[in-house]
Amino acid sequence: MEILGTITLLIFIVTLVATLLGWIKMPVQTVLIGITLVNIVLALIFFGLQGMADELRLVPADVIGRIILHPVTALLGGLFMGGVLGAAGGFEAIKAIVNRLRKTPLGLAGTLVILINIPLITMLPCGRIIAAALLPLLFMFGPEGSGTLRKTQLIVFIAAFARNSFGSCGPSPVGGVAQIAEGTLGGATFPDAAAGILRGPQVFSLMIGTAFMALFIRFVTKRLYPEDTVQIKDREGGVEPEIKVNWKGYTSLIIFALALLTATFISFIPSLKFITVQAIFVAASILIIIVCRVSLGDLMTGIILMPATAMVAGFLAAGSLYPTGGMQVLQSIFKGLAAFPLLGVVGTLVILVQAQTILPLSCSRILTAVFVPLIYVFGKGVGLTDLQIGIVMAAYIINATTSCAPSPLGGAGMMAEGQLRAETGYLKGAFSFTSLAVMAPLAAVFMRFITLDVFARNPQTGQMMFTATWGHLGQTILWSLVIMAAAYGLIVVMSRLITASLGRNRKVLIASFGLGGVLCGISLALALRLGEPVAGTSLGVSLVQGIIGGIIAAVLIALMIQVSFAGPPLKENVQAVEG
Amino acid sequence: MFTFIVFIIAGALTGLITTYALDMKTRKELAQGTRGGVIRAKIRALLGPKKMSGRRGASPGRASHRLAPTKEIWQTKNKKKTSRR
Repeated sequence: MEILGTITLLIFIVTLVATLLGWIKMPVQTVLIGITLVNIVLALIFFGLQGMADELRLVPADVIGRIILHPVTALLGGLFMGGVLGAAGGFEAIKAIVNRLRKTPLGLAGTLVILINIPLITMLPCGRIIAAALLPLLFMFGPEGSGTLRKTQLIVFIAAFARNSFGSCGPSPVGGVAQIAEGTLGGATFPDAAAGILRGPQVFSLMIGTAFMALFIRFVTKRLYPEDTVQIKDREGGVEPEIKVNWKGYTSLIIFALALLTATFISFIPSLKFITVQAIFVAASILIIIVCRVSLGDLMTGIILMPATAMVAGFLAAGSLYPTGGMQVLQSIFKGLAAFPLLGVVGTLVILVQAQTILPLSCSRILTAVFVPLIYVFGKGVGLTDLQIGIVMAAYIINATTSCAPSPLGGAGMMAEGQLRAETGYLKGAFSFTSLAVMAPLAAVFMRFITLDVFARNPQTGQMMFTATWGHLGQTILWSLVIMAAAYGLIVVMSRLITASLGRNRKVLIASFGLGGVLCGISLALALRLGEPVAGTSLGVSLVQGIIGGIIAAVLIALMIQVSFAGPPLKENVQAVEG
Repeated sequence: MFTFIVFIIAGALTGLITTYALDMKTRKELAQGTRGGVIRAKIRALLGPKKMSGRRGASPGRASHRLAPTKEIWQTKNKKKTSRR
């Protein structure tokens, strides 16, 4: 069984890495289905040769049974709503409202801040929905549209929006990525986890991560293009489009907002808890179809199938590792890493937290199906408490959720780069850096001091296990400020070291990522100490292990996603400026 | 309540940082950005999970043994408040 597990795990990892590095040029869903089929066939041959008839019969059912239907159906409900909203003109209504906001005391700056954060406010199950709808509008703020923003400002603006958008699928109550982890955490200690135990940490870290994405891109762009000469390839006839919204757009938006509020709060009303979010969103979508007279053709064009197929393919490929013993082998590997003194439990956890940014796929749901159960079982195996597992899960899930942005396999970040008409990969470094050094540590801190107060219950008595105090609030703010200050310092120093030399830039980036990993390792090691040592190690040892784990994870991220600043157009530009 | 406070502080700070990153540095612009950040954070805080009372809506079989202690906690807190007065 161990041999079979090793083989299937090798097939899974090698194929994924080969796809990531561009050696296999197929959609990742196709690759995953291929992995599943090969693993099933291998299992059938292995069990047939061993004469294990019962195991052989159960293999297909075991693989199919790993598909968790709730997030899939919730995602489809959310995508259905996104399609209806687009067809009825709901997104046009959002644009019109934003235009009006500019004339209020919020002014342009306040409106831009709200606009950047609209994905986090609407919380759709895939950031691509809102990004596809709003990116053209955002671009029109630039020199080719209304001319409100300069080119550098436009790049910062779109980059921040992209960061916010391609992380907003995590806290979504309708099929959000975090629901997979919330379902796993729900148990004796967190009986109400499904009500959104990971939502608070994700929102908190994504808010700050978005601001740091803007900072990162600002400093780098200003360094590379000091005279605001950044080359956005010209497009003819750029003018700000006139936004026409009829009553259907506003009506659909109101129905969507009411459905979102109902879906968010219904789990807190015991007598109505049996109504699922899927039912609410499908009912609201049907209401929009009837009231706004949306045709089925319009509706279908708005639905994005990629996240749903990615999720199912991910569940299947991960599922094929269970009956073949691949998951046990993976657990053994991480247990082996944890037994290595320099890395230990904390260092291994830091690597696990960053796993999906190391292997960024087009949709984070694919690998979440593998790593969520792995982290849970690994945590239990090395003696972590439920609260500590909750903290690790909070850090992991924000990192996982945001990993689709820097993915070279049709990652969502490419939408933003395409809209900017910048070279592919310009935003990649910033996406990964914010996930690594800012968001994961902040999510752990928020979970540690604030969210446990809402969710953690003693399994025996049902009483809350942790009560947040003003002291905890102060610690949250202090830790967050320290993490933000350190990340800010790293970004500033890194941007000052960037030159026209691509080779040097790459070294600078790897070093910066390494220090970002150190920040993540220290933060996680400190957040995990809930009055008792982590897996029996002292604070000093935990910190060292966290730092080593962080550096390994960070260097792997920098190497795997080929982080760099600049293709030929940027290089020429820098040389021209310096010349 | 703590979630709300943290969100508001984070919202104000990130609004400020984002505005600065957008190269809008006048006092008016920074204030507008901060205001935008606070509004966004308020909306998000209102949509976030709240601390649950005794009626948590868990399945009846599991909830029964937890309702009483939660009620006791509530009573204890009230007693403390009364004694302070």
